[in-house]
Amino acid sequence: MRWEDTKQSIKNFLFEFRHQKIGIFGITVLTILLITAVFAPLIATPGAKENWRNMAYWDENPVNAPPAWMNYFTSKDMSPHVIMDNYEEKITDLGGGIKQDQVIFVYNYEYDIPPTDLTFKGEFVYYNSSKPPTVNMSILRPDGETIKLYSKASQTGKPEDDHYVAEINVLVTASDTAKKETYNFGRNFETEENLKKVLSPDFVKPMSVIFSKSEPGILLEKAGPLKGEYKLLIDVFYFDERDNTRSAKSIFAGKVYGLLGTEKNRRDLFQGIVWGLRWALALGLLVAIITVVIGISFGITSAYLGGWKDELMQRFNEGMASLPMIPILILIAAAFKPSIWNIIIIFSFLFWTGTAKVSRSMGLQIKEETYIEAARCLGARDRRIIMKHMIPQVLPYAFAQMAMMVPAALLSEAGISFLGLGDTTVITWGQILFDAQFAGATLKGLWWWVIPPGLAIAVVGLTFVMIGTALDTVLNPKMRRM
Amino acid sequence: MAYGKYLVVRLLNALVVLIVVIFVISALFNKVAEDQLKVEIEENIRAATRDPAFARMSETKQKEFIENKREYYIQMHGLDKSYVERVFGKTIDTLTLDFGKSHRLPSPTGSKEVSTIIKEVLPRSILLFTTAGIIYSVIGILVGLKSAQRAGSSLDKGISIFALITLSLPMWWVGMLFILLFAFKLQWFPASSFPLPQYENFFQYAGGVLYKMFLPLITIVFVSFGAWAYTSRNLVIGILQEDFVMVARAKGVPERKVIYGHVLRAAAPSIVTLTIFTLLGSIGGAIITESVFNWPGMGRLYWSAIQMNEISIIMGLTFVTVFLYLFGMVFADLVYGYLDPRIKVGVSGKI
Repeated sequence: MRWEDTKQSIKNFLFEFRHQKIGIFGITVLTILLITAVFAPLIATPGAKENWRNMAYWDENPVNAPPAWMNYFTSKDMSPHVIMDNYEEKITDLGGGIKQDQVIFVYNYEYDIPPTDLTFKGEFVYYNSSKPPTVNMSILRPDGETIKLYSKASQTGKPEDDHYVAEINVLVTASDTAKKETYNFGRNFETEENLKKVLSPDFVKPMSVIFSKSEPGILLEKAGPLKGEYKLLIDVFYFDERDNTRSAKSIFAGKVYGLLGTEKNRRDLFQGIVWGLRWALALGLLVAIITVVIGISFGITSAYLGGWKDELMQRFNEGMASLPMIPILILIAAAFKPSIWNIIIIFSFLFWTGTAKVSRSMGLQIKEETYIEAARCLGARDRRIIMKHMIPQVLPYAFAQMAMMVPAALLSEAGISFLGLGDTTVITWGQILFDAQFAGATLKGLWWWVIPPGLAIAVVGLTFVMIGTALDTVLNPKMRRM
Repeated sequence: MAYGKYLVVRLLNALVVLIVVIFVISALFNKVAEDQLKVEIEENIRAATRDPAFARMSETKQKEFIENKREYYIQMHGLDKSYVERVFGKTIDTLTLDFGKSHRLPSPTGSKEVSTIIKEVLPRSILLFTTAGIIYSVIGILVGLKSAQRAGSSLDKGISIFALITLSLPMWWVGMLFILLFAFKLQWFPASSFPLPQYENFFQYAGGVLYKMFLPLITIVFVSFGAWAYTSRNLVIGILQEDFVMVARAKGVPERKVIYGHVLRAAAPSIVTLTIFTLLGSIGGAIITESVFNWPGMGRLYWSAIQMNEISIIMGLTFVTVFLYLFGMVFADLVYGYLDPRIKVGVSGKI
């Protein structure tokens, strides 16, 4: 084919394709998907990809938090996730070599449902190895009451040059002091009857007490929310002049989180969806391209060769086509635990049969055309005839077929991953759904863990189906119906 | 006589494919199975050393004892034979439905024979698949006929779009959505189909099973019937343009009779075979769907076998599915040959 012809046929194609609404829509969505995949590091956090299976990376996130936009649909406002690392510091010298460093975080609470947890993380530098700092933590409520949350005499730290660094990590829901103190605080306002229902500090939800009005029901999560400015006070007592606070950070773990919420292991699902898109597209496209190349070459060669060679190749094709894909894939995946690249290769070698069958029947027709005969008379070799004259005729069909192959590959990979047989070094949507199923997300109603990954699979699949249908309508050579 | 020949060729073809596939699978998985057997042998030996009699033996005796035991097990499992011999042996075993023993996972009745385990779950899978298949093919054909009659109407367009959408949905994910909606939110149906009700009398049992089967059933039907309606619509539209339909209409045959008598009869061979093919094509998705609903069929067995790394069960299951699949293919061909008179009389020798 000359360049001029190619240009003309592309022009014709584009002219016709423009009228395919469904195709234009598909192309638009595909462009958006591709841009998202390419710019994934800007849209999501690069660290999330590497640390997807490193649970320590996610420990600042809340557990099973629905998406933040849920607040638009509920009458009660749920607190979002807040991480604070800007704080005020007030240093007072208490004399006798003791220095008090008060770290103050200001938190504005204007919601109806309190944060699920409150975490404080701090690093304290001290010089006298026998005198590490003492840390007390309390919260000052808008009504002027103070509740003690944590108190520890001393923290032994890690040595560093000529000093030591004490690290503390307080989770209010896990702190016994907080439980006891909130219980004692709430008892002052509780009725006799209610107190009978809450027998000991073990039954108290500290976060709920902290953010509730001081009225009956405070221990039972029944008091109204106390809105206003809260101050988280960290009192650090140092025993050396040079001692200081290196860093402090507080996390009010949200009842809701981010765009898509979090799951049981605190992972941010938005990160998973965005990073999963890369593999979804890569896997789908690669499998589609390899499959179609194999299928077309096989089919055309078979048609061109004819005779017993054709017969043999067709028997082989039929044999492959009569295999149930998923069970075979499950078996291979369960036995060999393949990497994502091997999965792509395995898929490609299993999926080509349909394409081969159709392109063979197309090839049989093309073979009878006079220009093939002419080429043969001119002494063209088999390879040249197949490559130069037959395959280009089938190419339009190939493109449509490729688009249709993407969803098939995507669904199969998701199925394999859903059974827990995927490549665990990468993030795929099927694996997120496996985690969801394994944790019983459907039974607990964690819809934000279940719906987005499947929807993402469906959207990518549908995009390619739409493009494929449109391509098929435009390029569809009549002989495909043979 | 042509039909007989057609039948024999199809059967032979399927048999050859089956044997080749099993052979390849045996060749591929002998290594994995061997590793697992070795672990099992070591476990058996360790168990034997816990015997107090073993502790009383002298050190050289103990070593000898272990060696003997190992030799014995290796011979028992045939690991002393060459690779080729083992592959052939495994192929023949598999073809005669002897899948060996499971490692840890027992069947509900306590048997560790893989063939027994599979035999217990297979009927439940077949029940689910065929019920779903019958429902969605009937709905699909009726809807397809209607939309073919009114090609271009909003019903027709709706069906096409619905088919495109369901084509790209993972069936098992739809199952998860249905659990969220019908089991968690509305609480109409149980989220888990396991365990099935005890048998008291037929109606109570059938009702209980249907209640537990309902969610997986509507999942399969929901995801499959759109594509199926679309296929039968295209088929029927093609036939509606044939001359004989025009003749029938010109003769004054009532439209109902044209559609259900002439058109449906002409479409029957393709529709029946395509129904079987669609059903077979949905096997993969459906076994994963089963595990979502805990339906105690092959899918759930697949899930537990994968979690417990039971390769021999997975191999047995794969064999059974491949077998059913090939059987279904041959069956579809036979039905096609039976319904299409051209094949019966041998007009088209090469189909």
